[in-house]
Amino acid sequence: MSDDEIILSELSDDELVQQMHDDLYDGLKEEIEEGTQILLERGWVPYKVLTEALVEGMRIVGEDFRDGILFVPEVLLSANAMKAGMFILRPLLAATGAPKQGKMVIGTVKGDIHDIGKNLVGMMMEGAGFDVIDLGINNAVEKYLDAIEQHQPDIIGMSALLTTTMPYMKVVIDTMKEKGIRDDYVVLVGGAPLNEEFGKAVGADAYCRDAAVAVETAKDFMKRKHNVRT
Amino acid sequence: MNEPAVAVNEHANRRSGGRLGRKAIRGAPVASFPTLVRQIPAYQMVPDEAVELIHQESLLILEEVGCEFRDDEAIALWKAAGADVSETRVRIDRALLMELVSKVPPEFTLNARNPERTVRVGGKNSIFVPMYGAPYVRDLDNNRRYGSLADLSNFHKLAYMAPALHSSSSVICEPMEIAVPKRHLHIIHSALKHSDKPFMGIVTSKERAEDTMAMAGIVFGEEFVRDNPVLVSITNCNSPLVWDATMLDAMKVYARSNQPLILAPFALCGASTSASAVGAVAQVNAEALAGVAFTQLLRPGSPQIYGQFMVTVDMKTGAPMGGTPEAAQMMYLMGALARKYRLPWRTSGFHVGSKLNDAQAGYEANMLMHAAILAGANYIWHSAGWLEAGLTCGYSKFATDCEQLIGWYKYAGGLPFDDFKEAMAAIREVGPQGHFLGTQHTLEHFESAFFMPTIMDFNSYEQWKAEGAKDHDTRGREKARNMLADYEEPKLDEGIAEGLKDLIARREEKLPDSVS
Ligand code: B12
Repeated sequence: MSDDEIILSELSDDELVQQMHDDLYDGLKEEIEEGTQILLERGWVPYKVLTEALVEGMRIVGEDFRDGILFVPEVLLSANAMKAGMFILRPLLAATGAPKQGKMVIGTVKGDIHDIGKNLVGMMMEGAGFDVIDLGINNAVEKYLDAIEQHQPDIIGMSALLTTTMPYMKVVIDTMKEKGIRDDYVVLVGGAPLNEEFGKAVGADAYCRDAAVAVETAKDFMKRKHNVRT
Repeated sequence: MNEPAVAVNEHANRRSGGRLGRKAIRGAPVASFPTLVRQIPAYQMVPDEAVELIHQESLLILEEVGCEFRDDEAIALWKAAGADVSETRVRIDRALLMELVSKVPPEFTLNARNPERTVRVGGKNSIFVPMYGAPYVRDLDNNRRYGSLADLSNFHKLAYMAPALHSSSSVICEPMEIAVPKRHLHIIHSALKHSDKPFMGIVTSKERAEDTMAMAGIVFGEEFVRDNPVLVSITNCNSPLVWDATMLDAMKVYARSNQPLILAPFALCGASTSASAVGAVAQVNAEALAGVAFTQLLRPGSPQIYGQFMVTVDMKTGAPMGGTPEAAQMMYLMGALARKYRLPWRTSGFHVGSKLNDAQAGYEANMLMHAAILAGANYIWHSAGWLEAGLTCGYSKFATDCEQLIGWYKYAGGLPFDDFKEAMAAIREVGPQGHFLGTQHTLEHFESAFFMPTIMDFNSYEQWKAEGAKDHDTRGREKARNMLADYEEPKLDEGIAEGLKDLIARREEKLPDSVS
């Protein structure tokens, strides 16, 4: 069946959700927007649309990325389609008091301009339904603090690729401690020269070796957070 | 024996002192090779028109899109030079660009603290330089861990001992235990103390670049380092089309003292350039030319190196690759452009992605170095130690690379014809059916005629097995260990040694213990 023949609104709920998984896989933004609207019109609660159509679809994408079947540019396209669906759902989710998918502030630390990996992480997180605020490169501690105050995220992500800038992560975390806000947030760190041990030494909650692990770890922390709250 | 007098004389000449004497000759530390003067033609992979087409596209990029220079002083300099500037975006017309680029000398002398190690860079002159920047080492026991000052010193020692390496680089691996604000002092000190070859500067801040120059001043004389190249520093363009403040600060310090910079985009092709080998070259060429041109605003006529580091991105993860065919092809294009501009040209040689000094590393290294050599590179960097796309420096890889460089030095040195007549005479002497292993010609030439590696193994299976059936990686580590055991520090004037220590102590007092 060629795609012109598929009319989303004529599909049953199950078929439509299936189709949306395929459309996410193929990175079809407009189709995802349309599918999201149709499900909402049919009375699905926003949280159900999010989890069953979008998050489940991206889970499949993530799996095939991990297994080397999908490549980075394709996954970014899928993430972009997911983001478009999220854009429609976000206000509705908030209004219905649905469990939050999570919000992340991410940035490369002061003195460092490496951002290819950080950008990849940001996009993958968006693809998994997270709300991502990207602070860009060369961020002094104040930038993180301001963003924390302004956006009230769940997760703070820091990236560093230089051995000379990695120690700055500790500066940020120590400042958070001084302000008594460290434990209110999950801190994830990453960048090629880092490792597990370093992450522990600076006081991060986790070091993530790549974007896929970052997504998994972030989801994990969000799950725990919700368990604690409920 | 009918001419005893002559025979005695000949015997005197032929005596090497028996076992001990021969051992001394064979065991003597090999002096460094001089600058590699290429005796083979550079290979151009595409027709002249294709080179011209890329050149034109690069000019258009700089005229239409422009390049960011994120520093007030840089912007002021560009304005004064007549470029079209809006905020940090600089659009440079071709006449201005090429006029600036043409001020760069096609060749320059890079002075070493031991004049015998002084080299030339540019034209037919090429040098091999060990790697830079590894946070990790793969150590003598084959463990992967963060680097230390002891590791860095070891690599400087190995660089000093390796005949085909022409530089000690600087931060071959990071001495991670030393506080960041003070680290650069110890990196440069180690390079100067453990080796007498040319070295590289620190670029991570203006202050650190100034400290590097102060240390060079102690060794070479303050006056001397204001005008004469003694170190080379790397400034990377942040592709696409951004020169950031840190790099511009370093450029100011070094170029104003006539110290060459490598103006090199470090491009992950497909991520920081378009996913096209020729498209990537057009962009990287524009970025490098903009950087080179800027140095000529700082000091017209200062020696500079047009540079390139281009690897493709692994689309499965976004990670940088190493020895791929496209990386090699892009080198040929960049080499052709460098010759067109008459600029000294840097590329890399052994910058593999492999985790281990294994078959993958070997294939990758060969793909890359072959291209670097045939494309006519002058500053052949990352020529020892590099693993994991630059995250790790391996002892085994370092030793292996040094050995392979001897082979490449020879390869690029061309085919000598000076003993051709004698070789022809040997054929006549042996005639059909004989063998050449015992002829005078063989005896006289065998030591230099063919590459004689020691890490590579060509023994019989039985002998190899009897010696422990060691793989290449293991043999490389053993070689590194043995070299280090034989190391003797080169002489350094006591006054200079004290001067360096004083300076480090003074600076350490002022510098903080941690980043803030
Ligand atoms: C590309 C690159 C550059 C580019 C950066 C372009 C850009 N826009 O980012 C340029 C050319 C500008 C550059 C410049 C420099 N670089 Co650089 N660079 C690299 C290189 C080759 C690849 C990095 C990369 O993008 N990888 C691909 C991405 C996808 O991987 P990643 O960054 O590791 O990210 C993944 C994970 O780490 C993780 N992750 C990353 N961030 C985060 C954050 C969070 C919160 C989480 C959860 C996960 C996570 O997920 C990502 C996706 O899977 C590395 C070598 C290497 N092998 O890593 C050197 C390297 C990092 N650079 C290095 C150096 C030294 C420099 C320079 C100082 C060199 C110079 N003298 O000019 C400058 C510094 C410039 C500055 N002002 O800061 C060193 C650093 C080590 C050290 N000694 O400190 C390295 C290791 C190379 C080397 N051996 O010299 N560099």
